[in-house]
Amino acid sequence: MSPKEKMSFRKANKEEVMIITSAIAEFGKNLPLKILENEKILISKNREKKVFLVSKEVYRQFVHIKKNETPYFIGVNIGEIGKNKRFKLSIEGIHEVGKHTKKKVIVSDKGEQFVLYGHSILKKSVLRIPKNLKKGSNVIVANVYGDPIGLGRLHVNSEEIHNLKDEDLILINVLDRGWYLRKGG
Amino acid sequence: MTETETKNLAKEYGYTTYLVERYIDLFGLEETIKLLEANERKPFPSIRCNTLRVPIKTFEKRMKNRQFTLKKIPYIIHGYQVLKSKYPLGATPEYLLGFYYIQGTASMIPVYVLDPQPGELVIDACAAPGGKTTQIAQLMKNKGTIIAVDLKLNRLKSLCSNLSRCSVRNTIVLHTDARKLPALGIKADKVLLDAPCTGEGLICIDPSRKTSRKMEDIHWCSSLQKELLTAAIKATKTGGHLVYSTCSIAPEENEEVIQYVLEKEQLGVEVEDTGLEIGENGLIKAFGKTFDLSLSLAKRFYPHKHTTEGFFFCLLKKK
Repeated sequence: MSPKEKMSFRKANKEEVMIITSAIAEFGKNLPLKILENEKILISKNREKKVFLVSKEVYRQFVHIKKNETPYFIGVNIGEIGKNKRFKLSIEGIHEVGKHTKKKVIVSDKGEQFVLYGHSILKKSVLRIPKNLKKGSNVIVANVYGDPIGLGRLHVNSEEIHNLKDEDLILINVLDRGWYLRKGG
Repeated sequence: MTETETKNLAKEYGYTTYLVERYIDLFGLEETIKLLEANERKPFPSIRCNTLRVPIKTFEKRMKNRQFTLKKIPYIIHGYQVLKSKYPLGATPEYLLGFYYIQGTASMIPVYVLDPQPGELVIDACAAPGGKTTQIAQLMKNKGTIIAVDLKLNRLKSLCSNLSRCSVRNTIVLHTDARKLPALGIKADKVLLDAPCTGEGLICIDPSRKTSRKMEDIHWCSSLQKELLTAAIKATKTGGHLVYSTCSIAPEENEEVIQYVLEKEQLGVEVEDTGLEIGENGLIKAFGKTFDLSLSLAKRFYPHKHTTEGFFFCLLKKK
């Protein structure tokens, strides 16, 4: 979001809830329930349709305040719905999903550095990768402690990794927490 | 001390003369020299462990593994001085994961004094870049609501970035002038006003402030601070609490501001004891002005006495 833009928010409609739910479910069937339960889903009404999770008590204050003032930001931003009606996770969306999913690739300390610099991941940095993941699927990238540090897209089928060389590309970096340093302000 | 001697002292340490004159008037010559000397030494950087992201024990272990030498600040439960670090503090994976916030030692204290509780409605009136907002959320365990307000649009980006990085979920950010708080129609349980100030207490971190601020700046800030505090009080519920703080040691920006609201009877506030044993008491006299005796319950921090940045805060209760 450009700092000059002022957001206004509305509740997500049924179609948007469906888009968000099915995108999160790609990381695990029970995840939408774990992440979205007890939260109101708000959508920013400006150019980008950003998705925010808001607790009931914050929502109550929001309803009161919006009569006099338009909020600039609210709750936690978990992603955005693009013009193609696909939901893309934000960094904090990655964190939410990463806490619960098994679709997680663990990278070495060195690999963590690469990811946080915005680079993609080579085989030599991968310590653990789940089985049966297809090329093109999105996975959470985590450090050796299991902390989610980014989102990657598999460049190969996970079963093929054993046949690859150390320098071969495994994961394309989609988004990582180094964003806070590079663009966060 | 003669005028020439004061000028020479100011020249020796690189200050504008008026600032040194004021210090001598406030603290006497001996203490002024100690203050000027202390301002030449940058304090150790300090960080606050963000328990919204990581338990304290895990944090300590992870930072040790990252080859940081930390020293617990005895009077701040989540605070650490960074004695040695192999990497820049703002570029470690732990920082990016929101495990800690880089925050001045003294500036961590006002939020503990405010003591926000889970479930409360709290206003952070001049919130950007979010050090104290993230700390309020931490003490509230992300329960309840924080209304974080800031007027400067370019600083809101940093505020939102820090809120996200630190896993804060219970905040509504407003881009507005905190002087308009009463118009929001809310009455908060607690309000923090960390007011815009001349930053005179930050000379030890930013030496350019030795000469970059004029007397007019102090008066301009003081006048704005009085308006902001008046608005903050109006947005506080009866029985609620406010903490007013600045990173300035100028009495015009501190005790004088509190005195102003104490004299406005319709605002109905009184100074409360912070219960802290650390810090100097607030001033009850400065530059020929006398302040309410209760101002001695406010707290002042100085580089030469507390090895922190210069800081002031005062706890108020709305009657």
